[in-house]
Amino acid sequence: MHIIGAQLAEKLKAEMLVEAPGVNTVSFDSIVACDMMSDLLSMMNHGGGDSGVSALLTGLTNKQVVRTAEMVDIKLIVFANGKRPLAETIELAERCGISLASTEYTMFRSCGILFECGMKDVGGSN
Amino acid sequence: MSGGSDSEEKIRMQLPIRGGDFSKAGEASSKIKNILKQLGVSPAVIKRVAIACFESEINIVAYANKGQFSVDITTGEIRVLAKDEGPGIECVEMAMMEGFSTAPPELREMGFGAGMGLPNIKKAVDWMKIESQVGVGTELEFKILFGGGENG
Repeated sequence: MHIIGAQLAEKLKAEMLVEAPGVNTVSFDSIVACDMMSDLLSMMNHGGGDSGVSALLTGLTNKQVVRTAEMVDIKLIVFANGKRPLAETIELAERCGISLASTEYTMFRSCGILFECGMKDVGGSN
Repeated sequence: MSGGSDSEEKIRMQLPIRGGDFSKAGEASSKIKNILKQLGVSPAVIKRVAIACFESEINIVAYANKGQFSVDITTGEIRVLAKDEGPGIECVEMAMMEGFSTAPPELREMGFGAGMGLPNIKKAVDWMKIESQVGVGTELEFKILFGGGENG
């Protein structure tokens, strides 16, 4: 399963907050869901996302989320539970070319929807 | 330093890192990542370098007063010496264990401090050495080969 950013946002009824150039031409094939950036770095260090492009689902809204995503080539961050990122988070995302979206769905429901539509875990399993 | 390299040296730089300044945390790692991208290094290798650098940078920002990256990039590898002036690590062996953390609450609120930093760096690199003196600081040095290497 590969979907572009707009389709992924649509499945989660998410509002796009930052639409980086190319987000709708990049194909996303895996999802990482976590609030610990240490876990994100660890998961992406185990071969996660090497063959495709991953999107991040998180409840954390600070600037370090974008910085961490930049390090591991994540191109789209979706904030669950209707959370909104801080202004400095939006500013850094725009500079780094990373798209941001916000969904009212919980993390659990968001994961369920994306799993149901065939998105993979990082590293390839589903 | 470990065994030398025959590769021709291309780039040498020093990047200062300010302790306690989370607003700038990651900027040095981002700079290194962009240089490797411009040099045409493979995305998989760049990701490993970025992870190792970023984890090191977060450690310096979180724990030390100040620090810096000394970076050497040749045609075949990157070497980074992350040196800081800070409290040092009491037991390096414990710090290398997954899940061991002495992180302050502020760091955890930002999503770090899960005790995965040093183990994660070890997994990303082809060689690393860590020396620390309590009350003085820590020197972490690592190397990643562009040709894939042991962890690539």
